[in-house]
Amino acid sequence: MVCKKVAKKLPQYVQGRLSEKDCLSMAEHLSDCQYCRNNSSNIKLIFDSLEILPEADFPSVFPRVIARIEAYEQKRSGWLRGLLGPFLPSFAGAAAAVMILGFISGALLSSVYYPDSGQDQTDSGNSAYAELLSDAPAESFFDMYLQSAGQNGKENSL
Amino acid sequence: MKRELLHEDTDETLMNAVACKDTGALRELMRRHETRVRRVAYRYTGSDDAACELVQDIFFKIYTAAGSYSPQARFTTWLYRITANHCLNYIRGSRNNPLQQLAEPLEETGPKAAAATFGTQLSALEKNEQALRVRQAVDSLPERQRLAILLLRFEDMSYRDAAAALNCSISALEALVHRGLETLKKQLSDFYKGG
Repeated sequence: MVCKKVAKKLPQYVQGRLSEKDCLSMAEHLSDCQYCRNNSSNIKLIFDSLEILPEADFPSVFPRVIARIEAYEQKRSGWLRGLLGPFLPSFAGAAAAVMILGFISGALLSSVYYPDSGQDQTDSGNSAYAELLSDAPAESFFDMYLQSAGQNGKENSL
Repeated sequence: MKRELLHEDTDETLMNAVACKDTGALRELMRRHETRVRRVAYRYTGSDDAACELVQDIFFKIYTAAGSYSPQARFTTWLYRITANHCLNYIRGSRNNPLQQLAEPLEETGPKAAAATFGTQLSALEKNEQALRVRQAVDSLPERQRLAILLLRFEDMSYRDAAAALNCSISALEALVHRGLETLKKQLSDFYKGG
């Protein structure tokens, strides 16, 4: 191992976080290298000196967090209520009126467009088809074809 | 009934409950993890008030962001990442006041340091001075170096977890720690000679 690489791994070595293999090669290097040994001692000293930094000394903040959450939830629910609040009864009434109107108009329109809706599907289908045929010209293309075919036959026979 | 269940639940299960606005689950999560968040926040800021505010922010964030938590990730990794982000944002934010941070340890950490078990030969005054020097040296570090060293020193985190919390690679973390320790060594060199 070279010193540069060792330097980056030294904190882990000092804290005992290296794998057994890395630890052995590190120990081997340190036994030969005074510079890295000094580095290792310094890192240990620094880590130890950090121990003097005191611990936090205040009670749990859970009640404060809960108070913030309650205020937050209240604000969130209050946002929609505040926006629609004065109009909320009007909105509900309007929605109900639209639904009723839609239902009634739907029923009326269905009776206009499907007057035979009381009959079964096949009958209504046939009657609609018959209605179409009744509108068709008295002499259809098929009749015209048959007539022309007959004339042709007569001509051929002649 | 629910309380007993909460104790047995994993952090990930509790987070699902928090996503459904269950404050009981949040209470249980805070019971398990508040101490470590407080430890990081306090050692990072060096101030009770700032740390208290940060811890509140962090757990409030956990509540509001619970819906985005993915159970595939370990809860503690996610928690440390939120903690790290809040710490870094705190320092970058307008609330940061370096003079206050340097002054506070003089006033507040002195008595606590004296109470700490750090050698019996030194007087309380010497311990106060030591605490102040260390605090100043730590405060002088760039934010990410400071956080990396504190996480690894006090939270007993693996390099992988610390790298995840700081959102960087392990080699980048090694570089951060290396540079941070070099700075601390320079800052505290005369202190060691004297000590």
